[in-house]
Amino acid sequence: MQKTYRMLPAVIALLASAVVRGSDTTGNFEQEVAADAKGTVEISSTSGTIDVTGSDKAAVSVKAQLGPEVDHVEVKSSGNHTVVHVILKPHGSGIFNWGHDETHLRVQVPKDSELDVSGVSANVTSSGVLGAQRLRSVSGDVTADTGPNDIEVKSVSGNVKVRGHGQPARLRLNTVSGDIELKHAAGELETSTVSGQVSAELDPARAFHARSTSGDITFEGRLARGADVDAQSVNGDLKVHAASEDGFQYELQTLSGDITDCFDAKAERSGEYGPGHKLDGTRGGGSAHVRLKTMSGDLNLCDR
Amino acid sequence: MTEQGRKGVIRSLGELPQGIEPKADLWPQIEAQIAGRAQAAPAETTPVSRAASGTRLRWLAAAAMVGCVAVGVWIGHSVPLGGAAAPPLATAGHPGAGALQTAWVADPRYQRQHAELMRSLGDQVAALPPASRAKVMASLTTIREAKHNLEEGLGKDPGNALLQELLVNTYQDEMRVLTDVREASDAGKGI
Repeated sequence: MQKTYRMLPAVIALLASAVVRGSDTTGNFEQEVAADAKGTVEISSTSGTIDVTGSDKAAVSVKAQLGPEVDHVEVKSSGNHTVVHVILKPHGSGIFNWGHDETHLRVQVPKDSELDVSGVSANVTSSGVLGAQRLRSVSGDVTADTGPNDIEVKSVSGNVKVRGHGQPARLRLNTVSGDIELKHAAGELETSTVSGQVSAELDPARAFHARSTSGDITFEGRLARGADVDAQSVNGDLKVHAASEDGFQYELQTLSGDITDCFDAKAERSGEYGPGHKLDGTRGGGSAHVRLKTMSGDLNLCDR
Repeated sequence: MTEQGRKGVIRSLGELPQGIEPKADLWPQIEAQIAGRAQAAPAETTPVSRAASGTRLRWLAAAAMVGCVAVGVWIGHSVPLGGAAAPPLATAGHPGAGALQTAWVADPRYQRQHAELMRSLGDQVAALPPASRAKVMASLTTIREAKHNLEEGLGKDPGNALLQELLVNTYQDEMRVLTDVREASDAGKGI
């Protein structure tokens, strides 16, 4: 009898292994582990798709259709930390065989989890997660819903799409060449891109800080009292259409672009001899601040 | 309050005296001081000293500008946008950027990091997915062209604060991209 108990962990491990290996032969994988309702879930996969959804269940549930380059899927939960890693074959061509290994990973996490997702060419999608989120992909697109907590999304060449639900949050969205789109959000946004287009809707916005080298930047929404809007681009156009709770002071500068507005203020030359135009002034109470600067892009400001 | 005290209280502006004479006439003393300064002044405004003063002012303006750029870079370094690495102070020494630009003191830490990132850039870009490679290279070209244009603009108008600010930010953005590319290539290897 004692011998049987001693053998029990080994038998369980063997059975678990059999389940996983059995899944591998069909290309499908399924596993569920208990998880802290407010813990951290870390997910990584190279290519294909990563879909994460929040649920009321205190468990992390993984379903995957594995590509041929996948060696195994690691699902571990320890304390308040759960990891889901898709591990490629060690000597395969998987690492540099981008896009050919189509692994589709679906992960259900407790809705209040903190989420940390990392993909390479994988498209990442997250919905229904209310905790803080950190989502990264190199060339894949990232699409996410925001809750009331911070969200940080980074992609090199993929596009970033984030949809809020009007709850104030702090958002950081960065790409190198991918476009950035934010809708129905509120709170603070810090965003940067080199050549992507930035389009952001914040209502209300407490802060909007945006930078690009050649990409256009558009902000639409409403400015909270004392809000701070600062957008800069070397060659891109900057457009801010924002109603405000208590007006705003504005300061617009461009070296070779045009300045237009919807309240008939006229831009003037920056200096007596040098090139450039500027437009300074105040709308309403002037409690918020709007600063738009570009070298060769056009500037457009409207208070409605 | 006593009756005597009430008499001393001023009830309207009309009760105030029209003028208060000083105990002594101070004007002769002030006049003498002004005359003394006027005699000393011509020696300070000779053409040679005016030229020296102008040169000094130009150097002071140049030093102030370098100081402003240094402060901007330092602020950018302390509060990086999107986790950008250390920003630069030195420029690529574009010929059109003017002599002032060569005076910009190089931040050795930036130069070291930048050189290191540029050295490994080829390998890092090669490790990226094909879809990303061309886009990253195009973005780096965009940044290089933007730097070139800004430096050219500063060569024509060295005191332009807008161009200075955009140039410093573009250097920061270049470092951010190089850092992101390194992280992205590391992520590919790590998974």
